[in-house]
Amino acid sequence: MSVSRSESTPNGREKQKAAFIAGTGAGLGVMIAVSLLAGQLDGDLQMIANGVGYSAAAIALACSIGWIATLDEFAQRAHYVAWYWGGSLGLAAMGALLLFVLLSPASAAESLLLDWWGASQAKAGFLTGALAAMLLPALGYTIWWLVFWLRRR
Amino acid sequence: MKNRLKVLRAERNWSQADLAERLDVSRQSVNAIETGKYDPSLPLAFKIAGLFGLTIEQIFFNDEAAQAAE
Repeated sequence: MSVSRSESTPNGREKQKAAFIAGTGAGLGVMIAVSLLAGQLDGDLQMIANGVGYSAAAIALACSIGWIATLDEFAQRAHYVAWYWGGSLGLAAMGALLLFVLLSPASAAESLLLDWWGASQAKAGFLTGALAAMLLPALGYTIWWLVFWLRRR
Repeated sequence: MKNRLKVLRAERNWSQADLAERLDVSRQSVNAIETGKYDPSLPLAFKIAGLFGLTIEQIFFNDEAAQAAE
């Protein structure tokens, strides 16, 4: 999917950008809705929901690629820099979290997981790790992106 | 890297938004370039130079060159 900035008018580009953002948002919305339904549906219905969820994720990704192509080079750089440094800081925070879990008494980490998920099981532990792996770099990215813009307003 | 973008823009009575529209970038991009907080890519630098009818070196220069000129 390629969007040429030079060939599109400012008005047309704004419409393109709005369409891509709407597509990304809709895709993410469907994906989250399907995730919330996980485990509550029966057999085939759950398989269909999974398919819809994966399709929505693919649509969201395709639309986000189109959207970033509508940005000028400075705005794109803000995202790249924020992802590199903010994401790296998020990963470093993940490392710190890992050390905490490894070095703290087993009961301390377990009680945290129990408070969070209500049940001590392999799936809960995996979900905690997966969420932390997504949320911490995303948080670092968001903060770095905001600082980038505030410093260059 | 320093530049004469603000002066060149002022000579033509263009606002940052006017220049941004001519360059097909955001006003924030123009502001960041003018204040030296962002160095444009080579294609954008050529576009800026072409818009003002100058060469890139006549618009952009590094700090050492600026000090030497002074």
